[in-house]
Amino acid sequence: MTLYTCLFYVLAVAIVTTTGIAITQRNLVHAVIYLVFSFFGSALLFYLLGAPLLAALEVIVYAGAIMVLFLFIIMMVKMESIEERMPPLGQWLPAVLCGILYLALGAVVVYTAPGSEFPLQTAMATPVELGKYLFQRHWLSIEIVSLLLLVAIIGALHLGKRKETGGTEEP
Amino acid sequence: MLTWSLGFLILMVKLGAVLLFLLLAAAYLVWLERKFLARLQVRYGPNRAGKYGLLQPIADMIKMLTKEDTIPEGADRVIFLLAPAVVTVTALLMFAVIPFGGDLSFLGKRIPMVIADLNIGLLFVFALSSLGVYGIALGGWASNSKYSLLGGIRGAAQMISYELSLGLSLVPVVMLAGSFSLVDIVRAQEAYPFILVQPLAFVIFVISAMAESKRIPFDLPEAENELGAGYHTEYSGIRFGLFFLGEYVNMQVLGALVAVLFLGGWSGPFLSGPAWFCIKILVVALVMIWIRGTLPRLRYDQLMALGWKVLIPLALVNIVVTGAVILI
Amino acid sequence: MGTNQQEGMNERFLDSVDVLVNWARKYSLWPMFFGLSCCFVEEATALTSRYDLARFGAEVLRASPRQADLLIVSGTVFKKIAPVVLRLYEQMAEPKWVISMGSCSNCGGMYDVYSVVQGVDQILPVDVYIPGCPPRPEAVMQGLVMLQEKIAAEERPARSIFHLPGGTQGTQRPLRVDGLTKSRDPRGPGMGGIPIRGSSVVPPKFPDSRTDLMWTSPARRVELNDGDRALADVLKDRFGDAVEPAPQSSDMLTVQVREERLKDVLRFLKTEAAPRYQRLDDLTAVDESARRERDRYPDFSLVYHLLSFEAASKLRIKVPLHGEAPTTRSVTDLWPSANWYEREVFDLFGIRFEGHPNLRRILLPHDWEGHPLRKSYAGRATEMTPYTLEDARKCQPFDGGVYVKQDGGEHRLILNMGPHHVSTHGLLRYVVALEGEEITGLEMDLGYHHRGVEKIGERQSWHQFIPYCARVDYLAGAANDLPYVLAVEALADIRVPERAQVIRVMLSELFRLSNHLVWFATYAHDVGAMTPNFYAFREREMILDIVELITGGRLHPSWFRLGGVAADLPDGWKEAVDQFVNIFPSRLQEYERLIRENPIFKARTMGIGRISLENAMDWGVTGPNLRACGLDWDLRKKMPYSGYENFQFEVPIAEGGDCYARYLVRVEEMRQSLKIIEQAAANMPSGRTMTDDYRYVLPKRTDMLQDIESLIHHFVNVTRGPKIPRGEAYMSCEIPRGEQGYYVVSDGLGAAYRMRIRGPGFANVQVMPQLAVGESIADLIAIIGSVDYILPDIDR
Repeated sequence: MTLYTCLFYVLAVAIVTTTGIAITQRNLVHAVIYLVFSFFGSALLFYLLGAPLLAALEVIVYAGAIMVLFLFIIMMVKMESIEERMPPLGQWLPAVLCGILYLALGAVVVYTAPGSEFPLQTAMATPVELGKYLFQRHWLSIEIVSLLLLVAIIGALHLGKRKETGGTEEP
Repeated sequence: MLTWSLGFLILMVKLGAVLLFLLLAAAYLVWLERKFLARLQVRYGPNRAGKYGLLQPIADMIKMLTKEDTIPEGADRVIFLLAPAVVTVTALLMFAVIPFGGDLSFLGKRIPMVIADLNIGLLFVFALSSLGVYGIALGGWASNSKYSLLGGIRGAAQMISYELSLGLSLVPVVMLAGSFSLVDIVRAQEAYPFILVQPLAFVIFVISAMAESKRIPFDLPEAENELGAGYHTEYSGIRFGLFFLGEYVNMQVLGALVAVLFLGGWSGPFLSGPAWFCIKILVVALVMIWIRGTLPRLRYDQLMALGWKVLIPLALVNIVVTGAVILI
Repeated sequence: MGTNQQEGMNERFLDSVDVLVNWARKYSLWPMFFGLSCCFVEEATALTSRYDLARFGAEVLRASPRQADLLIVSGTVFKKIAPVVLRLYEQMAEPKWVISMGSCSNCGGMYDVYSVVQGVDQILPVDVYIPGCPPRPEAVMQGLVMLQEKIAAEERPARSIFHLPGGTQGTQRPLRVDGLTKSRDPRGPGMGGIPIRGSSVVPPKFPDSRTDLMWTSPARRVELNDGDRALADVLKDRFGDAVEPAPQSSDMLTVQVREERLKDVLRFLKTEAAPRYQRLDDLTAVDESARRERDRYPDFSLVYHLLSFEAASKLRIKVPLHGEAPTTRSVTDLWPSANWYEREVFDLFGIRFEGHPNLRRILLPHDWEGHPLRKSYAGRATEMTPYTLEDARKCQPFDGGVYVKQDGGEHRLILNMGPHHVSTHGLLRYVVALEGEEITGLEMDLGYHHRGVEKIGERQSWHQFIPYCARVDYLAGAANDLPYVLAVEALADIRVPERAQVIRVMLSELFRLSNHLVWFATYAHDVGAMTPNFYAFREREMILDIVELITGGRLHPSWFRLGGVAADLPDGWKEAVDQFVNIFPSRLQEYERLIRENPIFKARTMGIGRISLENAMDWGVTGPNLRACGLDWDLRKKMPYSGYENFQFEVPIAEGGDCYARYLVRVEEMRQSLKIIEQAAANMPSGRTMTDDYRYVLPKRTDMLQDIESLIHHFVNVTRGPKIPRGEAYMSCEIPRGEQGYYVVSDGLGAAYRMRIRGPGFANVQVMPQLAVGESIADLIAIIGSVDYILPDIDR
């Protein structure tokens, strides 16, 4: 086992554990922190795989921005922690079924993929190359995605605005 | 093996030197701030502890180190204890990619004056600064105090908002330099510093940077008049000291970034690279202190409006214009 | 032998650590941002340019007790605030030190009264005591240096730092126990056998009052003008027997109204009468049970003072009440401002008001027993059981949620601001309900600064009360001696020489400037600008230098006397005033450039904290806050006193009633005050500074040494105090914060029978929810700063 493989497994275990804790934690703030660790682990994994740009973006966007937003909303909205109780069986059953299905699908994909038997060649994606690759070869998909995001932003604005005026009318 | 250990040794030396420099500079930045503010306010400032009060930071540090470390009842202990470290560590780590000067020759080896010249250097800085928010938000949350909580919420909202304009304002710089590496960006400014071609980006960056470092007029997370001490209300002794330290290291980071991105980094006539670099950081820091001594504080919604409605659109326009100019 | 050597080494090591740590600590004493009353102003002054406490490394004021090393207890420790002081002390991290600043904090000082703890050392250990009332800023520095010396000389912190047994750090002094380890006598130990002077002639126990033997002319009688006479007739016609105009009065039309018709009369006066009496100036009560002629009076009298903007006249309505705990009807539906006034009467007299929305104690703690302004209530703290540490632990204030009711709103956060908070400008507690940062509910809890000064007024002789006046508004100094001396002079018909009047005006205006400078400084600080503080205090020091030159005092000169002023102007006063008049306009312009046109300042104040003119009039808002709503109403112009009619000045007004309008009015007022000062200095008349009617006043020393009449008056008026004729008078003046009125009631004795103070702050602050609900927390701070109130005049 090379040093890289060791690191990979350490990181993989850390990601799986922190994610596991994150979804079972009762304390929302703690859950967010574990999730941040999980994202951080994934970022390191990306780095290890030769994609420093993706690693940085993972930290900036997921660990940095999105999770802070989560934290912000948790702090704003709910001051007290959720009471300790198990969710009812009705919620457990679909969750378990979905989980099993997901695992099975994953296994099938992994074992039927053509390149699954061979280790990837060491690659290095520099920002410039990645940018060229994305914007020259997949420009249409990027435009579509950005359009979608724009629609989402306008929608969010609209929703937020309507609620605001509704709020002032009340008293 | 020999080269490897030599490289490791050099790395360690660089790390130690930078860390020592940063901590000392942070301490004396506090001294400088107290003296300079005092001068702005027609008074002397500390002058009893050592000549010109030069030992004042040492006295404050020893005092804080030997003060009781209180943990409020009902606090989330682990998070409460770790939050200050997050702020300081992320601030310190940012210096890993900042170049202090040109390459140095030592025993026939070229030693770059930077700890790690990453090709995503700038993104690395952003990543760390976005993680620094956690120290503020979680410190405020874990204290189990309403003032801290409000400070934490303000901090989280403010920092993610200004992260955007901070990042966007730098896109033109990256476009001009063609690289995320800070060393490359400095090299790209050999002819002229970017402040000349990107004045708008410079202004947006400086404003956002001040908001990121939570200084007047953007010091809402710790607004003394409103929230007591804000997110660090419940911290005493050295943990409070760590927040303090983080803030001043942050100030240096931002000074360094302004120097690297807009003022041509270490380049300058007559003096050596690192000297120029320090002078530039110092100038930026003094301007920030000056602003602190002059302006009132914004309100929360005004702060948000400034970020989202003014700075971000301006930064976007700047990107488009710069792109168009580069294409033509 | 080896172990001994080892120990010796250890000791030497620990000793050097001691020296190092003590050195560090003494230069890094960060005081807590904490003040109780007047002394804090001098403490804050010690941080400003002339004194610069920063030189000792002690300028880092910390708003959080966790980060502070030093608690400077600056000011009066009230029983209501003592638990808070104790809690703050306990929240501080070790090692911590305490400086007790000022006589009140040292031993109760001049406030030997039911609501004041007679020394903070009964609940906290104290390292250094700073004497003075208030101590000068230099004394604060001296105190700090003494504490530094104490740390370096006495403390051995190394052992506790390394978790070894032994060693000392922080405050180690024992608590004092009133009566056991400290004297309970307000005059100090060794005076036990001698009764406290004057205490035998305080109601209800005056066994040997020789004042009864003195003759005095009857109280002044004013001729009512036509308008007042017409109004009296209209009232008589309309309400018949229920109203009874008083046969004579020393100041204004006085009408006795039977309780049943009170509300009708008041409603008529407010809405229908010509002129309309739109403002409830003051509402209070008098406990008549200790009158010398008991049968001529009811058990209690309620006293309403009304004011008409149209006719610029005042009216007094007296309502007799009978019984041990009488009940009457609330007038809160007529004047919303009556809310707090009625609660105060309930709190201090035990009179109930039916229909009051929220009749609770307002000034005293919720668990207080008795009603202090009743004559049967012991006034002195030294007559009550001593206040101890257990009391401070036990008597905790209510939780914030008690004040702001949760009416089903979701995500509401109840935030307690105060009673001790950086920006509450004194000990006032705001309980804020928040939705995000928006204020959805606001309640105030006051009384943390209740010094019982009205009770003290009933036992101090007429002259002795003057020092208490300045402390009612500790930033307006001599300006608030004026309504008191004017009221007593109106009652006893004392004529004041012209020179004394002009001197009074000049000093009052100097204090208006000084007060507005402090307001400017703190307001700028409230919106986050730190530097204007230092500039404004620089000019304030110039003013205080002039004040000191003339009076010998700084904050509390106690320099006005019944019948004049204490002494003539000293040599060199004119040059000092002229110099200031020359310098100040350019400085003011500089501040304006720094703040007024600053876009951030404008954004923070324009349109924030609006109040409409009608609301302001209804709620009894006075002073610059009223003028910022666009009403040209200034007592100095409308009902001139002390010769203000002889001065050329304008009354600045502004439109909008928001924070920015209040800013504009006050800054312009500074310019106008300067004009008045300039005129007063230029046209200072010559002549006496003290009336020659020596029956009531302290005769001039030269006269006293020359003729026997003056000597006798001097002897009597100094030892026993003058006897002021039976009667009552209400006089209000435009002090810097608004209209402050003194209602003095005399029963023909050496001390007032009732001393009522109408502070502008009480009404100005009551309106706060109108201004702040719907704004954000940051706005609340700006609003508080713009309203410019001061606690001792709210809580008195």
